[in-house]
Amino acid sequence: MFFDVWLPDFSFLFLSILVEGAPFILLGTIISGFIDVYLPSGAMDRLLPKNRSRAVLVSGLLGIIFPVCECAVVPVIRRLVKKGLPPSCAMTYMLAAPIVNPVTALSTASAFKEMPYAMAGSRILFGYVIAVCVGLILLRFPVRAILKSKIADEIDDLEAQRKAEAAHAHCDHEQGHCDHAHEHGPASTHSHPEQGPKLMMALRASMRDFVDVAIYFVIGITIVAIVNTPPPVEQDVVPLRDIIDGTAGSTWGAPAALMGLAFLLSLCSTSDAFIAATLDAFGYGSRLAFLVFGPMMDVKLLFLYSTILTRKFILYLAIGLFITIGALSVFMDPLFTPDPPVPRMSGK
Amino acid sequence: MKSIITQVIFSLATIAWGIVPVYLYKTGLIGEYLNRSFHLVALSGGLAMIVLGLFNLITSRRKVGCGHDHGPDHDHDHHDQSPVAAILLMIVPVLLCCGFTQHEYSAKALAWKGLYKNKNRTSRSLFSSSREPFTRELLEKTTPKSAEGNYLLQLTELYWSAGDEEIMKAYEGLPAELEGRLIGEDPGLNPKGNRKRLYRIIMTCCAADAQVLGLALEFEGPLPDLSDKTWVKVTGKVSYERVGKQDLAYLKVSNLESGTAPPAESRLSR
Repeated sequence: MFFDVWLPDFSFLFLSILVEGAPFILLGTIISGFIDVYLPSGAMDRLLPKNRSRAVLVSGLLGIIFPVCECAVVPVIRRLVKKGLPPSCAMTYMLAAPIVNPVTALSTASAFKEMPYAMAGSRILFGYVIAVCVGLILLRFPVRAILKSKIADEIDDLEAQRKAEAAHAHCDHEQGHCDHAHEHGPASTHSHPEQGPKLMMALRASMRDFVDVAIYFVIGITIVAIVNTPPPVEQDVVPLRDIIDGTAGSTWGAPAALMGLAFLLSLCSTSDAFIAATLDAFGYGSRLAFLVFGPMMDVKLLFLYSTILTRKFILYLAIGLFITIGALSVFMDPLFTPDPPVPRMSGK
Repeated sequence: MKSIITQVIFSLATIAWGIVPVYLYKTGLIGEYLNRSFHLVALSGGLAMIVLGLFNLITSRRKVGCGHDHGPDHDHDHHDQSPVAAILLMIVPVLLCCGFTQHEYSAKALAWKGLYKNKNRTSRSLFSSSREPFTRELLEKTTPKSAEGNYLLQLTELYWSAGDEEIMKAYEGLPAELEGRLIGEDPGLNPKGNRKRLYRIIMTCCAADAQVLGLALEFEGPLPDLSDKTWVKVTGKVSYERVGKQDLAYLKVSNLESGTAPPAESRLSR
């Protein structure tokens, strides 16, 4: 049973998710590799408004210009944070970009033919508001409460180096007014190592990032594949989907169940709307919760996030998103005008 | 030296991942794994992984700076992961899964994914974008016919038609031709033993979100002696029956031919 049925089904699912997600991770890591080599430190600071709150508001809209799905955004953010992007802005972009982007908007509109603009619009608005709220809250948190200590250390080093460079720039070397020691002679070992071709450096950085992220991705998709494979037991087990369908009539249970489904299915944000559209036993509010929560938090993302964020922060983020999105979806549900009842419908 | 070994293993892991989608695309098996909208993405991604891995493998002995500005104590070792982790979590799982996969769901997984379940909720938007009544005339106008005069229907279309009386009325008795895969009927749904089931799999991303839609086929004579999951072309008349509280579509079969699988890009279309 295990080797004849369960393992082939698991392998089929595992490879299916892998070949679907890996290209997007690669895209993200190639972008991150090029950012590493070509984007000067602190460039993001110069691009975003100086006012931190405004910077968070703008970060939530960056997905319109740089549309990436949730798999691709993590390696990019990882690199941008190391380049000096404030964690509050990084988190806002990371949570909003998979939703607030034209590809997701188009797929949502085409999936919900009955109310394309309302559904796509409310998904974008909902996703943006949640991401910005997270970003604004994070403005009050120290970097080390959010980012892994290794990344926080790198940011501290970077900051120290930038300060040193700023001080260095104020020295007037030609007139000999510099009052500190330099080792810029031919035998200097100071931080100007011999650089290889930049393209090679970028591709090497891309591959490093790809492997770093891919390892966590594998753990995530293994769990997704296990959950979606029928258990290797003789007796019938009720499929997860049937359990979730049973909650459709519950005000609080329905969004909670659909967010749970989104978490376990780990769908791509560019196409999850087509699944949400088939969940027609559920209200629009619950389906909106599915469409907003999924791209922000799912099994594979849990592991991808752990390449950059502390475990404690991921836990708080997951709980916070679950409660906030669930509650908002319940309050938003009555705002959607349901379809007029179809005449002579039978079999319900 | 350690850095070169790490670089080589990371390159091999990246190449291994790239080979999988390229192989699946080349053999046409990709259609079993992904929705067609992802086929080219998977192929391009696979090729890019192979190129990236090969490039880094070939240049693994060459020392380069890291390209960014660190302090003098920086050791240029950016690897968060060890080569052992890359072998155990990237290369081994992919090799094992490639060895064990049957490139399709087992019969048990098909049943788990809804082969014998009927949703019985008609989505009218599938049939008509306007509020005008859905009639046989409208159906005839929009549906192509075979040379024998049978309507070339999609299994999904017939599956979703059950539940709405107006739509069922338009389809009832229609001579139809369907294409799908044949499998045995659930004994609980086949008391007379004269039925088989035709199914198709629909997915929006990958196999994780696949739904299996099945439709009963009723035979007057003996059941066809074909192995499970054979692709068939079946003609017959559309009928509906009430099982419990649900209306279900089925086909009274007049002819069944085993056929070849449709091209990968149309196998799993919505």
